[in-house]
Amino acid sequence: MHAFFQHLIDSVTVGSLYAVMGLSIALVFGIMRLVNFAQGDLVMVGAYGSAVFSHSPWILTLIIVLVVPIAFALIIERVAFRPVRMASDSTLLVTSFAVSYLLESLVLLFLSATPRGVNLAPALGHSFQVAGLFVPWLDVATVSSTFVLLLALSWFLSKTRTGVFMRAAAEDFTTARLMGVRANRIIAVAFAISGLLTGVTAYLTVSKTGQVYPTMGINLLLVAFVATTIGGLGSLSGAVLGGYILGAITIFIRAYFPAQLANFTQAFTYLIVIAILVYRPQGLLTSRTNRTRV
Amino acid sequence: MNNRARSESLSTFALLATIVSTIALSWNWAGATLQPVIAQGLAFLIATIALYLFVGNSGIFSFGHIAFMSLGAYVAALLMITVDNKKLNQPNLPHFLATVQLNPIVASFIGGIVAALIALIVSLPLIKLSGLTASLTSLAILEIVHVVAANWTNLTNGELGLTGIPIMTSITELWVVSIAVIGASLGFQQSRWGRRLRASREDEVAARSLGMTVNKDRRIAFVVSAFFMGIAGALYVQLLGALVPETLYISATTMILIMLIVGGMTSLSGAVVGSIAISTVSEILVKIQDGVQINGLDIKGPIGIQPVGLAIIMLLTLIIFPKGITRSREIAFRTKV
Repeated sequence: MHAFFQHLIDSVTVGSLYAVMGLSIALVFGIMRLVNFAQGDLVMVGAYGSAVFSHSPWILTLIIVLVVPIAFALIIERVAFRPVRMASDSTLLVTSFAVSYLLESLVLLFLSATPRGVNLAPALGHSFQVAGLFVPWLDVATVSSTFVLLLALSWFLSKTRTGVFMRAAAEDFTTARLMGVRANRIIAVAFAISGLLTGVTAYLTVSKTGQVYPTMGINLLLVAFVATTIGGLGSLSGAVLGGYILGAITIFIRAYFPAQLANFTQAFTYLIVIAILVYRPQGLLTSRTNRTRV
Repeated sequence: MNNRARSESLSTFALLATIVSTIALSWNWAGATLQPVIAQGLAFLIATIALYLFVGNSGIFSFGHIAFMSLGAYVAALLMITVDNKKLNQPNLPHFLATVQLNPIVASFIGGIVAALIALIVSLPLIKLSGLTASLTSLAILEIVHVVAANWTNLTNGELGLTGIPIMTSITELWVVSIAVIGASLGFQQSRWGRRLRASREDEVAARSLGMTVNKDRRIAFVVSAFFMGIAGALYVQLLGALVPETLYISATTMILIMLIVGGMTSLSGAVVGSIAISTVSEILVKIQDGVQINGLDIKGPIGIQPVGLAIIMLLTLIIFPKGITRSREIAFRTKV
């Protein structure tokens, strides 16, 4: 029982990370039907920001890690995605794939493929004990920052003017534009928020793993894809739900699987995900706008 | 199909076959440095055509096709490596695999068949998903195959990989297979399955409302394309002589996607022209990266210029001419009506 609760803590932590990442994908997808491959590389550029400024005061590092992905998100939106905005879904998807490949290659060109060690937040490395369970401070930071982000985001989407515009755009982009919602502004805001979410992911990931390398975003990206697909593409709450489900699957498979199959956990995780999709091809929570109308 | 369409598609076949044959036959006169480039270019040409067969006709992007290439490569390699070699390097192989040693052509064919069978199983859940979800799920398949290849040590030798795969000594197999794949692909897109699939690509709802069995047509294309992917993989390892899980993974996926997009996503000519163009550009960039002398002038670019160059080409293609070099049309001698 004791071990079970320990795994529960782990899965909530990992799930929070996945949920934030999934949310950053779902937010942009809802508005422009773009599944952004480059989201994982935004984590990577944020992480490199932390590597460069790792000896600065922690608050400066934090700001850098949050600002760099936002800046990159806005740049790639302007340079790459705006010209193809009206193209088909697949073209958008492949364009983001190209952006992702470009960002990774640029890092290879200007920096190097060798991983760099970064000790971002040593204070978070400690843990405390509650009722015999070990809780690292980093887990507390991860879970609490996720809750703060989720609360802030739902406040933003329901109470502010821009937030309501964004939801309207996600519901029906064309009509929203006819009603005076500015497309460029709304999309830029969506990218900025998804950049911020990615920045948070980058900070937490680097604090945990202590490593920065060009392809570090790929795993998080895959996870976020899977979280958003099982949650239902385009549904924000679905992305969060999917993130937590995936976190639980990952941790519990790793914990209760026979040791000789330990290396295959990732494969089994994906198999479970495919199994979920067989029963719910539209995902668990389907957004109203993304339902196929036939 | 009327006569004009038939003669046009025959002329497309003739043109593409001529281009590919010219390249394949130039192998015989090419130097030792250029020969592997031509051979590997042809292997990727076959893979790109196989990718096109599904993606171009159905309009659904697949990021998982390299998984089938990898499957074909592993199966063929295990069937081809000499028994003595296996005894030495892989003592834990299952009895059947440890004692079998097949001719490369048979082994490659079996590699294709296995890839197609796995694709058939995978397609059961995959094809039910809507376009974008299917694209994302196909990545999961690439991951699963990669994890298995990297960890099923008894069979694949894990990260150490397989060695001692018989090396191909002539270009004939690659040449014949390239021509066959071009013919098959052209035949498929003119067939009733291919035409229905293209209709569903343009408007899925309309196609379904006309009674087309979209899922069935997609499944057929998926399995056929995986078969050719498997063969491409089986031929590719015979050029390398060794195989590790990373040989056919993310970077190979990127490569065939770039080839297809730059050439033109929805035409066979696009797949052919794109893979030739990208193989050439990529090789030039690698040469610049390594340093090259032209007329006594030293040219040497920084390491990493090849992926950056390819990424920029891919991005610019998508932004400026999304239909690619061939404008997504088949090249043919067109008769005026």
